[in-house]
Amino acid sequence: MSDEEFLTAYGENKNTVYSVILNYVRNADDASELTQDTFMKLYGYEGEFDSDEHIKAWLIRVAINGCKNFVRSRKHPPGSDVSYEPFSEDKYEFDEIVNKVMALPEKYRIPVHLFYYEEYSIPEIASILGLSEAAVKTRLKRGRDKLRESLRKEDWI
Amino acid sequence: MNKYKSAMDTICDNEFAVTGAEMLGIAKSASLQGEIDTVKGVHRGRAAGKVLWIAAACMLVFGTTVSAMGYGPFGEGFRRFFGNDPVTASIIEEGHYGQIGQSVTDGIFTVDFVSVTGDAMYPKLLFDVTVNDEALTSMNSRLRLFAYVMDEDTYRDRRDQYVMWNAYGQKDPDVASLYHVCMDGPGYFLTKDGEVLASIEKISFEFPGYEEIYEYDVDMEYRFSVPDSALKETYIQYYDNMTIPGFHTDYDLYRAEFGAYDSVLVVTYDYIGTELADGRTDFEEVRNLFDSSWQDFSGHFVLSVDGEEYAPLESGWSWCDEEGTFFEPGRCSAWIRFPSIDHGSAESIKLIAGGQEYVLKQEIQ
Repeated sequence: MSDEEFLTAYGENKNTVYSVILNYVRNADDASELTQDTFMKLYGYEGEFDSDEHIKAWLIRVAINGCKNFVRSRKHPPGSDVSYEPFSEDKYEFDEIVNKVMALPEKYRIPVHLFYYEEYSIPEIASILGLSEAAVKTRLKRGRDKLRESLRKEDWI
Repeated sequence: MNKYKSAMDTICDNEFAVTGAEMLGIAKSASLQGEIDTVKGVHRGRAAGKVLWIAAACMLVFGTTVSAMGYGPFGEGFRRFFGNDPVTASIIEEGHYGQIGQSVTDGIFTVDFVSVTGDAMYPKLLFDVTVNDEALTSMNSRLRLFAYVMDEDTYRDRRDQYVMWNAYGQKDPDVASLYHVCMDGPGYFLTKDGEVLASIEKISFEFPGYEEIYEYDVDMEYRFSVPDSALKETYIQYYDNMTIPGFHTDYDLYRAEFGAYDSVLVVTYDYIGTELADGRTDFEEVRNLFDSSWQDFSGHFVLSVDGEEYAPLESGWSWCDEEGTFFEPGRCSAWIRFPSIDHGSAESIKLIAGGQEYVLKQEIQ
């Protein structure tokens, strides 16, 4: 990948990668480091990409795999979720939607994030996460149900 | 644009402000330094420190001829595979290894637990994994083994408080279905009296491009006792009256261990009631603050051995002993690694921290 292609891919996917990692690890510093790692892998990757969408999907998969390895390496009890300190609403003048999504269990929040942030379809999310479409549908529904319970109507996505 | 996307973009732009030019520079630099090579299976750490046991990790020699199964005559075969790991090679040459020789299969995988070696701080568990599935072995995939290693009671009652040890395997150059795995293990459990359980619970395959990971749940248990002298001894010293004033809390030196791979100092500290904790009592809420403070402080430590000075290799994350198993309940600990030294022959060992000298060993003349 040329420097120009890398810069273009970075500009187009920086937030995609950072946001999915942030959703996974729920810590801004760790997300920053893992995002850099992901793009370093892109820079060193010698394979071919068919399209911009291919690059994006590759980056998301690599980012999620990096998160899994990170959580394992951090002496975190397996099977449990990483702790979460909500973003301060004093710092960001946004409604509480991000904090509510980030407070969801991992298996719900990653599909919810990919659905609403990336606007991926259910088959696309299933492909990226290595899940069946039925599993993605179920997780999306349950994630949305949990959000409905905690969000005010005017704050709905 | 939906509300969620808009809000998330705001966070991304504020929290991750690395420009394209900066990222390109980072990637180029890392590429030059080979830091994105993931063969070691560890996460590249920032200054804040990660659990990187690179120095202690077994290293494989490629292109050597070994017996198809196992390491052949142990000393010779082991040295052929691990010949570029001078520390472990030296430990082997001194006779510190013990053969286990247990095999378990589930049809797809046959895993032979070959032997235990290393030192008391960094024991190594050596496995041979035969993969009876051509689809998995035909591609250039990386095998990774995950196992709990602990005593039976801990496994039964509290294994969810531990993470599995894991290690990548290397394909045997002569046998396509065979992988050799050298896994670090817990010194604490492997140096206790009694039987140890190694329970392999997962085997994964990572395919090129980092995109695909296939994970297989397995259930392979090995009960064994570590043979006498299989692990090289380390020198351990406990301290109960050595306090090092830090930036945000006082650190009590708790333990120093000098081994063949490195030297590790462990400190304990209180976080509750400190200014940095600011009234918070849940350590998870303040962990990053205290880890950063420890990294900043301990990064300037020096280990002085008979006048020769060693800089730290790495500082570690904190953990807290909620039940008081090792320290006072609720007290937290952190650690710092220095290079291995010859404790036995050293006359004077000092830690220089915060401008003060702390005597760890002083031979009386």
